[in-house]
Amino acid sequence: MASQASSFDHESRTGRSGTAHPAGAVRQAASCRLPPLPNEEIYLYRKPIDNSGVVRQSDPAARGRCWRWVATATAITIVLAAMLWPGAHALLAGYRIESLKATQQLLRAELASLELEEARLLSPEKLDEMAREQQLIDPAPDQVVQLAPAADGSLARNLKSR
Amino acid sequence: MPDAREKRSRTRATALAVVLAAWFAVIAGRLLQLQVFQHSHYRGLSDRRTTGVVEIRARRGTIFDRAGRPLALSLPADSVAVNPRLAPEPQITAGFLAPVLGLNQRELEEKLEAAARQRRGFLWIKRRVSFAESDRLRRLGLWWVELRPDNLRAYPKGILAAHILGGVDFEERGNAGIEQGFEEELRGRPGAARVVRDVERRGVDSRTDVPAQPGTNITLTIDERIQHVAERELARAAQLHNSRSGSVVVMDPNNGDILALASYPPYDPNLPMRSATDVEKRANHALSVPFEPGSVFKVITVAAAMEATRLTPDTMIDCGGGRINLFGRVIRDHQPYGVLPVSGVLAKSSNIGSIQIGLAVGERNLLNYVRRFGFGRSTGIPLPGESAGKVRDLEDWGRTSIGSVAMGHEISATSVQLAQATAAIANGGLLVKPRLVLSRQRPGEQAEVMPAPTPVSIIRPETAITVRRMMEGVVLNGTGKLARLDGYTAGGKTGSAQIYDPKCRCYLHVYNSSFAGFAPVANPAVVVVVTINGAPVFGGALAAPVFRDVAMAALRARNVPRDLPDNPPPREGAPADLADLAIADLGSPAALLPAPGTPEREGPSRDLWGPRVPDFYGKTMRAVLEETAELGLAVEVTGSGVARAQAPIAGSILPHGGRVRVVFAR
Repeated sequence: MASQASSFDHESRTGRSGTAHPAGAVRQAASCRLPPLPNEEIYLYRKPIDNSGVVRQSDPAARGRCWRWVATATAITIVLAAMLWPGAHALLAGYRIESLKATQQLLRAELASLELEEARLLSPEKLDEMAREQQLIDPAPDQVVQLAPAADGSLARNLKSR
Repeated sequence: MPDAREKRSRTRATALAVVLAAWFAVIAGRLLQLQVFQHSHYRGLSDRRTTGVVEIRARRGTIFDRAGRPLALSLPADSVAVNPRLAPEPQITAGFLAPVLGLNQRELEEKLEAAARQRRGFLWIKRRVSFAESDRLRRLGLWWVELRPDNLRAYPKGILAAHILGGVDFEERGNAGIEQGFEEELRGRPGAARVVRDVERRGVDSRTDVPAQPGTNITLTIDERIQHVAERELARAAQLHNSRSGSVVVMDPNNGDILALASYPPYDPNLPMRSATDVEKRANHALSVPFEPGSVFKVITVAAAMEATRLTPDTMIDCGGGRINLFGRVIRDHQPYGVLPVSGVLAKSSNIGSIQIGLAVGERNLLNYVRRFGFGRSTGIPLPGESAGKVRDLEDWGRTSIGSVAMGHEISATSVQLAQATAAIANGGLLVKPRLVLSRQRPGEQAEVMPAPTPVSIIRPETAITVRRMMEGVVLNGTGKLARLDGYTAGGKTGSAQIYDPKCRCYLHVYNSSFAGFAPVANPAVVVVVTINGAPVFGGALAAPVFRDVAMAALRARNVPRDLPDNPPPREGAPADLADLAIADLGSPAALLPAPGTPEREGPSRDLWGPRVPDFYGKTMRAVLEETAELGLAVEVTGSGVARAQAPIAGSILPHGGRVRVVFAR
């Protein structure tokens, strides 16, 4: 599509324009310097257009169609979101659950490792060694007092001898 | 013309529509094929990429001691592997992994280089790493390192009870001890889970198809405190005399509970077997290695005599001055004795006296009682590799076998069998089967207590009590003086059986030194059998002190009240007093006799001169004091009520300067 600017350019070259235009002076000046843009005198031409007289006419049918489209699109979006949301949520929850399961396994492994360490530290050989270092001696039979747990549970032994 | 153009246009439009329709039809058909007809196939392919079935490890059951302290437990562990094709250069890979896993960097580098040369796609770096190691490795976030879930069987107490627990192999299958004996129950059943992963191998979903069933937890009758003392004292005594092997069995005579079962040399079940020496160390000498018991077996001979003959503890036995010619075979005593009461024969461990008693019992009766006491058949303890020992049928006995068997030769027994027999005397004549497993607990269920087998009466209670008192005499006045306990009465019998060497077909001058005893005498709570093999020291000097230390620890751990005042009796005793050698060979017994140059004496030992001790059992304190005053005996009384225990035993001769201790109770 021919633009208004290019039509104008064509007319000015062919001399069909009725207005006295200092084209020679412009060309002369232009020949002396490189224009920053080609045809800048054309493209940078500003034509004021007054469209204040244009009035938008109300079209209730078009508006109605528009709102129907909006409503339909929204409904479809909601339906799609409602359909996809549980799946997406389940997926994210799945990631979370699996991550928690992995953490649980790690914690169980750590607990077992700590139980092992506790058992190692409580081995009779270790206790024997510590007792020797602290110059402890075996108690006489009568010195050992086994405390029975109280009925109210206020006193209880950790290890119940069977 | 317009008609022609219009017709052409319509034809073109029709052709285009047909092409498009065909195209859509092809696509629809293909979709139908993929989505409907081949749905399951492609679904399977997809599932195989994203979904995997993984094994859920079943945790192996924990083994506890009787107080619930863990002796063996399993914990999840990771094994580290890499794909050498995906891993960086071996130097870099080894540089990352070696410090974290505690490996030699150079060796790991060589291993990785070799794997890369062989174009291997998988290489184990380290199996069953600790939690700390795997945690450190996980934090490094090395994508080319794979951590595969595994299980680690750990024995937190190290060598403690190693021979009872046994061990597991590389696949966590029991290969000895309780681990092997209860393999099926301990192992559990692994489960299976379906895991859905995304492209980055992150878990999206998982579903348990078959739940894992953890192994059964097993509680042993072992008390780890007693076990520790038994192992410690056994090792100390064995190392002191460079003994080859040894064992200690501690048993509750009332229900057969094995409270400790130690074997020497020890081993650490946490370490894998590396050499033949390790295999030897894993032999359970208390259970799998029978030996000639020697003089400790004289208790059985005496018990048979009390049951089957008219002999009593006071019946005098002619010990022939320490020499007897039994159908052409000359057997000597370690010390010459003249005439000794039956109790004295046991206290002094006279071979000749025992042979005379054995002859009085008779071959058939003796064999009958030997079998009644459980010798020659396995005790049924749930550990693999138990030996039944050897008791020959009467048809296989030689003419002199009666003499050998009476003093514990030509017969072999395990320490557990000796403990079972001693328990029968301690508990009043009931043969109880040794019990090693107290209870077992399946996951999610209550602990099931294993019933104690019904005991079988093998001798009369009176006989058992009589033999018990005679065994107390062994500790007070005989060869077992070093077995005296502080605060408790004790009975027992020493043994020093010469070891037969099949290479030279002769008996060596090293012994199976043993002591079988119980405490307290009135109501025995523990039976302890100590055997140390291959030491040049008699049982009274080597095994009796071990008995003392182990019995004291056991009585303390079992919270058994003392039955004697807290004044430790003197423990001095010349080596000759402790000699109890069952001389089995015909060689040079003189070489075995201590204190050369000691003149041989006929008649009773000098220690046996003095007044006889009356039987105070059941008498009131007043009656006891009156009777001792009449006889001029020094007496020491404890408690109140009626006499329940006395030392020395009734009928024995009180040594010069000695005193009688009588314990009263209601």
